[in-house]
Amino acid sequence: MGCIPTKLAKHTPGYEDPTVLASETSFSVCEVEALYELFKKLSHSIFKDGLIHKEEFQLALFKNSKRKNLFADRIFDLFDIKRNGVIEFGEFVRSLNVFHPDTPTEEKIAFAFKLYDLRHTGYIERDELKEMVLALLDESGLHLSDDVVEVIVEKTFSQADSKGDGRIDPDEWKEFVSQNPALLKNMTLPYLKDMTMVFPSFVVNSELDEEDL
Amino acid sequence: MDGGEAMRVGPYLIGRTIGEGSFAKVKAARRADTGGAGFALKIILRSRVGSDLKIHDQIKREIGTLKMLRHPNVVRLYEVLASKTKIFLVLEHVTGGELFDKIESKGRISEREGRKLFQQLIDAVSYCHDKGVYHRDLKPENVLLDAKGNIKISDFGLSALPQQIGVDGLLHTTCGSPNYVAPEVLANRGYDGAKSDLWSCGVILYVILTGCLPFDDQNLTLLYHKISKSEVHIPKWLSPGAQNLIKRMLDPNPITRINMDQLKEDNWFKQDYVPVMPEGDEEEDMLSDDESCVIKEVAEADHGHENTHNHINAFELIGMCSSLDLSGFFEQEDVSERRIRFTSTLSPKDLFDRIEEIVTEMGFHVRKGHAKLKVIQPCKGSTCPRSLLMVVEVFEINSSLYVVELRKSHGVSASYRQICAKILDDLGVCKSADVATTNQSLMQEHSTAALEGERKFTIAAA
Repeated sequence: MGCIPTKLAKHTPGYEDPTVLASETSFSVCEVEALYELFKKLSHSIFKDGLIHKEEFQLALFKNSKRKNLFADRIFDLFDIKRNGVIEFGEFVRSLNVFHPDTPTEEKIAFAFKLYDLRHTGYIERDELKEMVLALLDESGLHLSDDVVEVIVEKTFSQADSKGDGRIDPDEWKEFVSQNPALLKNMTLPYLKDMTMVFPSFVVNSELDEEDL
Repeated sequence: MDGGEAMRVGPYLIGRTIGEGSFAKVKAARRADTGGAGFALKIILRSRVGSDLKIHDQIKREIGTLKMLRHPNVVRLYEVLASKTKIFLVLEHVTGGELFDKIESKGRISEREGRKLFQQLIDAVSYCHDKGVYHRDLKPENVLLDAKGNIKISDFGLSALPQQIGVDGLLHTTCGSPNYVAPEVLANRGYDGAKSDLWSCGVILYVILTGCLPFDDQNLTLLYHKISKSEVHIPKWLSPGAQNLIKRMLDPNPITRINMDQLKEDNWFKQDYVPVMPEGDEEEDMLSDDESCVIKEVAEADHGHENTHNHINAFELIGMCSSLDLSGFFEQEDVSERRIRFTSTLSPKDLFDRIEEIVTEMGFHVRKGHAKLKVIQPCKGSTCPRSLLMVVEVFEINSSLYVVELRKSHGVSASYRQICAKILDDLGVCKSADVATTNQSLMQEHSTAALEGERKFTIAAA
């Protein structure tokens, strides 16, 4: 095998040791290495600097770097833990970990709450819910009358806002989700359990010692 | 590392060596955490492999192929581990030995028992073909038996995937063991992977039932000659049905050779045939054989429709948003399940009725369930497995607005796309501006189209 004198130089600025990331997440070391193959692909699709920019994020999800979307923006912001406008490898792995089938439901519930708390007030407000419904309808190219939208929003909001104070707090959210488990459907990606087989290229680049596995 | 002490790799404790090849060793393993046994680690030494790109590609290809295959009669790949010096493929450990050994020790197998094994072999091969995977090196050494004596096909290392198919749609690589190889493969003409696998299955059937090779010669030239002319002696003591099937499978002309559909309708083959369902990706997508349950579902569906569709709340509606589905990250390398959703103002009853009409007209079968409609691949006889193509589900947003989801199950993507295109077309789905382009990719063969996530269409009230 080739020599690896400049081990770290090969990696990008936000690179973190897979063994450390594995110890903090539901992923195994090899799965983290497989995720690095995915990360390299995504982070080199446009800017080639080893960081995932929003355009690259949109390109991966929609095959279109210019398609802006409320929800994609929210997901990107949540992945960008350091809030510096790009997603580093460590952020990528820790954020995807939320979607791992083995990750506790509590973490998924909390992530979904942050996702829908558009203005980071610590509550999901009625107008936020409406804004998201409108964004979805817009994305679907569907035009519903304002009355119809109001009814849909009102019905769901009143169910979730059990205390009736006009906003959904984390406890109410938890309660609502437990009654409607389907809400967490997209918080789990079964793919994440098959990473080593989906991105087998990592086997060629692995730098791990056997005892690290 | 060959000592008695158990070596550990990740969560696996490594046991004895069970096989050895030029690049790799295979060792039995069990999980240290759960104690679960039944794993075989194929350990590839990177120093032996070298940095040859071709071999790396072959390893990656083998992983990619095996990943797709989940069938009770195909050796399963669970995961892959790698270190600086080794690559570990965690495979299902099959303990019953090679079919070859069984035949060698027993001489030959009775027609009844042999047919059961052959049916399992065909089940597995047919499943792989449906996934676009051709084995190309089928021979008794690659056909293993589990502890219960059931077939497990191994060694897809040489399999060719559709991307290796040339512009003429035929495969162009020669490989495989001469005794089992089809004439068109030996002739190095482009060949149809499905038909040449069937030839090899024919040779295996011959070996199972007679204990001898149909084509054998010390002299390779003579062997090739025998194969290309299909000079084979079929013993008269075999039943006429078995003789006939072997003849049809060992037809030197791939065009007139029996194909998979015909084989499954063959009278000798069909006897006592119980097809196995592949291990489903999604439990709910499995076809239930419980007829009473189906009758109940249909009965329910006949009673008013208020309770037969799923009511979804605003958050669920938001959750359906394609931008919240991160599977786009992974689907490029994966011909995986697909989903198409559109909204409609038609009632669930109308939607289901019209979709049923459309798919029935296209020659597919449907089965109704609770707020669901399953589209099933038709089969020519009563014996072939009914494979589920897709599930249609309708969700209610309010009493006049519904979301329809067309979800692909296992099986050939082409039929799924055809059905979806027809449904969208016939229901008069009007594409809004920003999805107009995606309709095109709906028809594309490449899974990269999946990167666009789900597509949204709207139906105007028809």
